[in-house]
Amino acid sequence: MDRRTFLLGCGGCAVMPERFTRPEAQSDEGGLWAYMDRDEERLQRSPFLIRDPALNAYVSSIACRLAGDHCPDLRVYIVRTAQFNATMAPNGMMQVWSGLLLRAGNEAQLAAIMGHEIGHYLLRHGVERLREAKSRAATGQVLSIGLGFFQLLGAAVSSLAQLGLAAGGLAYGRDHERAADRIGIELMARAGYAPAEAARVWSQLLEEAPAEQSILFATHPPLAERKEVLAEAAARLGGGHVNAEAYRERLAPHRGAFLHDEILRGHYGETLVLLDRMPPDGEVLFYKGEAHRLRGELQAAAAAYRSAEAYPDAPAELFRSLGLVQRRLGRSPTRAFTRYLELKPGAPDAELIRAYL
Amino acid sequence: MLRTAVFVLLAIPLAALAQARLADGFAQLPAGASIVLMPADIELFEISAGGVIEPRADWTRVAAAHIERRLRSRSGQWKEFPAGSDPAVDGVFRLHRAVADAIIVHHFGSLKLPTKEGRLDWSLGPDAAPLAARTGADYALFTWVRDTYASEARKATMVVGALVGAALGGGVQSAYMSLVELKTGRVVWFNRIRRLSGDLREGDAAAETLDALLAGFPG
Amino acid sequence: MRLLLVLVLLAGCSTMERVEPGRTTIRDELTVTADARWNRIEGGRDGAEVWTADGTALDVLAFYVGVAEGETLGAAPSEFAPRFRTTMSPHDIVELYEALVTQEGSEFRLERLGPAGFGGRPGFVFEHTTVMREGPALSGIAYGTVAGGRLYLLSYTAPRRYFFDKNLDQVRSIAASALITSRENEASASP
Repeated sequence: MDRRTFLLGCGGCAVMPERFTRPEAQSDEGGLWAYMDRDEERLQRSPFLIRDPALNAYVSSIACRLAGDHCPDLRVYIVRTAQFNATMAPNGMMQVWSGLLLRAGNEAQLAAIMGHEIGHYLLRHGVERLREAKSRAATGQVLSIGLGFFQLLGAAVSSLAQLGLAAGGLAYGRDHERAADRIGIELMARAGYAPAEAARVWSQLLEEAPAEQSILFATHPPLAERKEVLAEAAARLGGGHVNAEAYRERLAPHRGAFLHDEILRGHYGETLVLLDRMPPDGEVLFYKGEAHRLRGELQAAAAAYRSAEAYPDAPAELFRSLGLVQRRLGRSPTRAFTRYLELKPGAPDAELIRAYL
Repeated sequence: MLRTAVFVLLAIPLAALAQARLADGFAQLPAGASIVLMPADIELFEISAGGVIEPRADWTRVAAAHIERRLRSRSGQWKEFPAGSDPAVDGVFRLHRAVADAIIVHHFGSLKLPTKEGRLDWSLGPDAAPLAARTGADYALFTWVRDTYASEARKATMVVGALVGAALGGGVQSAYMSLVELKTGRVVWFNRIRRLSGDLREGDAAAETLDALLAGFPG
Repeated sequence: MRLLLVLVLLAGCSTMERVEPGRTTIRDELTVTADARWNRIEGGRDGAEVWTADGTALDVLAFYVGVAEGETLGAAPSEFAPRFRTTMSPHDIVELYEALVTQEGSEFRLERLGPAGFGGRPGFVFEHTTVMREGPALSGIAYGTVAGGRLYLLSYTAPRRYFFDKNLDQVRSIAASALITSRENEASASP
């Protein structure tokens, strides 16, 4: 059966490919596989790998459910990186970045992206892309930065840009992305997730960064088309669960750190759109305040911090930020700073805060 | 980032032969000294006709085997690198990589540091200690190789390119070996090659490359 | 930042020069006293003055002299690189530094932020740990002040423990010796 069409138009009746065996070392696929093995070894030692067993077990179990018989061949790694991305390598290594975990509203949305990546894996797109690049490059004499390419298989954000391939290259990428979308939504549905969530992830992303001509959008099918295709598939495949509560619970211990990384990106407008989508609590409102503060919107920042105060999970840093804003607005920061020092007497900036008081 | 940059730096102006270097006051490994052979960081690539660089697992594995066999055939007490991960040892790897980058750029390269006065004067200091503790060795030998080879199709395009006057890269061999005295952390010997010729894949060519890499090895 | 330094080196037109021990003026405005261990990058693009003892892959001593409103630290900023505002507090400046480090992909952790004199006027000092995607974990210390609406910052980073400790006393000494001597500040700068 043609690998590219095996799950199309069949509403769950088609057959998955057999599990993959390690290719010959001399082959192009073998070379790619072994290279990614070494990359995986490096990743295992990276300080940016999130090792929390509970979160890993949760995310891996989702991948396992989606991948069915291929589950034993997959290894999922959660990487602390603020961008929305997931990647999948031909050797079975999947990466889920923290920027994605932050943006998925529920388990089904995470499953949608992971299903899409597993689609690339099942269709062996990594090797196809390499072969296609070679044959196209041979006629175009285009030089590629090989090392960069292999780092970013899957939802390749910047690899095609690095390769410097012309529009021909992007069109090929889109075909792959369309196929992966189709597989992904099938896998989601089979695993019991609501397929309508797949289109939702992309609309949410577009809401955050509507004008952004990011490579993510350049290498993927136009969003309108994508949403339409996914919506049609969802209508055909029916309902399913989203598991919003379970997802929020699992994410909760890490969300503060991820939000901190998000703020540091410096795209405050996008961050505010993202935060507005989340149900309000102390942490969410604190970071809203941070986004406003860093944009110079001091009144809005102060208002957000004050709203956050009402919640039990408000972080101590809220009082430090409130104090800093009040200083800038010419008001007294004493109450806020004092509260901060009460809550965090060993804070790294305690010395300076005390000097302000 | 810096690592990629160093690789690019190496690739830009390709100069002549390797130059072996010893640290001040170090001429020879003491009798009975033990050396741990650190897992080598080797990647061998093939360049296709259009210049796409792809990894070759078979070549990489063969090259790693060549290097290890060659080193172990030399006299000296070779210690096994222990299996299993150890964050402290991983830290030493990372630190050594940064020291090697500094040596390549500022000792062998054109951005020499005047304060070094031409000496090979770098050390990991006491930060090398976890490696001594873990392996029981007196010295550690690090190897790093990046090598690209032109495929037959690529060679054909190079010939065509030469006929029409275009210069197309055929392959670059960049590699270093570094010997660290673990009790002081001093880099006592460092050799680096960067050239267009050389072949780590098989036979006499591999032996020649290893000769070049081991030139001046004080053991 | 360390990545931007690589861009400077790759520009290919720089060399390393010895820093003469003793009193030195940096970018016409900041004078410091240093010993004989330092090399500086000559011929780099406009931006930070960069010194190193063992090489920029290891230790980096960067001087940002007179950063003005709307500018970022060092050269070649991205569109989203945070910029210095004259109204910035020391907290804001630490955040600026943190954002630049993070946008290179590294992780920044503030260890200490406190008041300190720098350049002959009141300022601040902060210590941090930075973990890069590749390479060893770094320790860092920075001294800064805002004078005449412009930022003066000295930042030292090096692999933690051995390399960081190696030059720390000298860095503290350089920071203590620093004086801002630009025209508009001449009257208030005390010897």
